[in-house]
Amino acid sequence: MTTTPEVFARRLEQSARELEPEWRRDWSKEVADEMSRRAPRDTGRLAASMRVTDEGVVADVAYAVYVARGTSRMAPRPFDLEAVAAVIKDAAEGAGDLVIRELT
Amino acid sequence: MAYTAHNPTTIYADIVARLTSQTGKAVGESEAPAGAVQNASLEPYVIVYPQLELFEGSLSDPNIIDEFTFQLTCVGGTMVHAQWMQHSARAAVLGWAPTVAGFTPTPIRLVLGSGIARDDDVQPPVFYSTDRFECFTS
Repeated sequence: MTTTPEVFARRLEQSARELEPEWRRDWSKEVADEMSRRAPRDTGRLAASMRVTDEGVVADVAYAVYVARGTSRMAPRPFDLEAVAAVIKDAAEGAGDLVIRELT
Repeated sequence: MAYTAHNPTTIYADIVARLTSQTGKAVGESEAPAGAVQNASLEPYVIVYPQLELFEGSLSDPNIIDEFTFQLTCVGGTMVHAQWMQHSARAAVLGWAPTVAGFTPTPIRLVLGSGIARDDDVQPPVFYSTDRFECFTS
């Protein structure tokens, strides 16, 4: 079937819209898992508290923010930032591999 | 090809120097500045925490894109002092680019701001903010 670039672009956008909720769920799950792995462990409560919600990933203990961003005397341990960066890096590498596979 | 990655020490030293000169207050790197006393009469100060560094490219590639994320924890003995310190620190770094020999850094931008929190683990309590910033070099 022949198609114009405009039709192709519209189909691509449509596909992306349809897939977005699934990507969002997968992405959130990966970030939550990575945050659990990277959360500093004492009792394990923080690591076990990661939840995926409609708004994104939540570390469901009140002290999570003090761990991630520190306090006036305590250094931050930005496990959230590190988790997102790790997932983005994996996704970028995966996308790169996919493109290379498709082109070869 | 020569290894041309920047020296991260230089960037953070530059950020500390910028904050010191622009705010006139003590600045520490990853710890409170020497002599900082945490009580209600304390002089406001800033702590620079390097947080994350992401490379794109290889170490042998001179065209490395590098992303830095760092946090500024601004501390004051009162709410107003902490707010003043946060505002002064933001004004010092936002839109300014550190010097990185051989690289072109982008202006620093705020990625995650914070309100002022009260730290009751210190008596009398002190107040602080935790803003995260980022900068790219290429």
